[in-house]
Amino acid sequence: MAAIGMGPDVLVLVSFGFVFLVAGATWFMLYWLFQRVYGRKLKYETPVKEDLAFCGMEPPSEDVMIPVTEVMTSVLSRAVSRWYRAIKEGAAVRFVQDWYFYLIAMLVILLSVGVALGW
Amino acid sequence: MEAWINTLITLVIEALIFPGFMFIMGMIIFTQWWWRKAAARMAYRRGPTRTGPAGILQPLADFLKLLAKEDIRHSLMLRRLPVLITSFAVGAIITVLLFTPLSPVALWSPYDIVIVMYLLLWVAVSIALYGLSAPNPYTNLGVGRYLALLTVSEPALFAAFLVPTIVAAGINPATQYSLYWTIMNAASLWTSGLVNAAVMAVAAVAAFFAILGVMTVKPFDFPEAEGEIYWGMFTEYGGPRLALGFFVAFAEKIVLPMLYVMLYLGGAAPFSFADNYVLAFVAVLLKYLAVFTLIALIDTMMPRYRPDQGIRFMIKYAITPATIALIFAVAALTL
Repeated sequence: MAAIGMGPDVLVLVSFGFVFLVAGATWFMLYWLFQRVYGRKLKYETPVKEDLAFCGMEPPSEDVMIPVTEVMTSVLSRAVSRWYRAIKEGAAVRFVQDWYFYLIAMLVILLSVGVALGW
Repeated sequence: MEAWINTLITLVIEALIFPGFMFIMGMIIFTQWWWRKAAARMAYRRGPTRTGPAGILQPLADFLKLLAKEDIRHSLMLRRLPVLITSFAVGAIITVLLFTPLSPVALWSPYDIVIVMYLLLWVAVSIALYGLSAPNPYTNLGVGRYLALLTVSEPALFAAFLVPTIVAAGINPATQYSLYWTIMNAASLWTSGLVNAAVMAVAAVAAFFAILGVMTVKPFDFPEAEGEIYWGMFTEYGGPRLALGFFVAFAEKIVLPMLYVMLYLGGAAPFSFADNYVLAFVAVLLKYLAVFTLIALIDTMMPRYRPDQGIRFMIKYAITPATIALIFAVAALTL
């Protein structure tokens, strides 16, 4: 049992080195080698080979993609629906949108920093 | 110079063999068999029986079958990125183990818990990118749900994993917020006063829910939602690309519960890595197996949450207690 201590900056570099090493080994052993030995020789041609998986149906020609960000925001907004409604429709949004709210916020931050640093 | 080269060779062997790549590979085969047997027992089935003694080699057979298949990609799928991303994710998750006492020669630095968290986040982001590399309506739905889940479960995991390092630094400042030394002092985290024990208990509950979320285990498996949105993030994958994606997901199911055991369940207690490495390793492995079995049973018993339900649960029972525990841990350290 031994532990090699080093500075955080050196450890970041060392750990990145090991990430690259293991990534290379993974790619070589689990992908390249198997494909070289066996996988690349297999060729099964079928007209639907390059089609999207679509419940066994033929994928429509128009764009059927769903924006990932919309799904994410929809899920999050439904999860915190009360807060979301309060921010979107309530008084908070009118206050936050007001331009001088930002100036007040900046002033408060400046004052806090000033007090903290003893200006 | 010679000593330096010997250390480097030892570290490379650790990364590639034990507790690195080969060890994780063996653990994936064993734990997947164990998971399938546990799930089968719950459902009055027998699980895998045919390949190897008691079917233990079935996951290996499944894995080899996928690896040796033709590498098929649809017209919109990125050519190299999924393979690269998953390889690097395997590298990141295995490197985490080099920071723990499971490595006979471990790496550490002050505040290395931040590097560990970065590597864990790298794995989660890689899984999302892996899904995005194969556009499909179902995949996009899965990735959107997964990103929403990560938004709440990753901060909870990080806050909860910070707590033991802060408590350890309070007990023994020489630990310096390092994962290695926190684990070496893991048994004392629960026995160093009532406040620390209470903070650890709250963080332990939060961390358990957070790892369920990050690993997308039921009831938080809505990003995959097999049968509902096809297979979510994995919909378009098959053959070697699916095998690599599975490798990352299954490796996460080994490393995260193992970190949980080492941080929250007393590490190697009643043994110590410093006194007897073999017994300490066996103790960690047995505790890990208990936690893993619990997770497998939860996955088998629980129905799936709706995405918004799952996220609300995470906010209530993972983020909130983890944040409270973090605040109390910092307060106990500074006061």
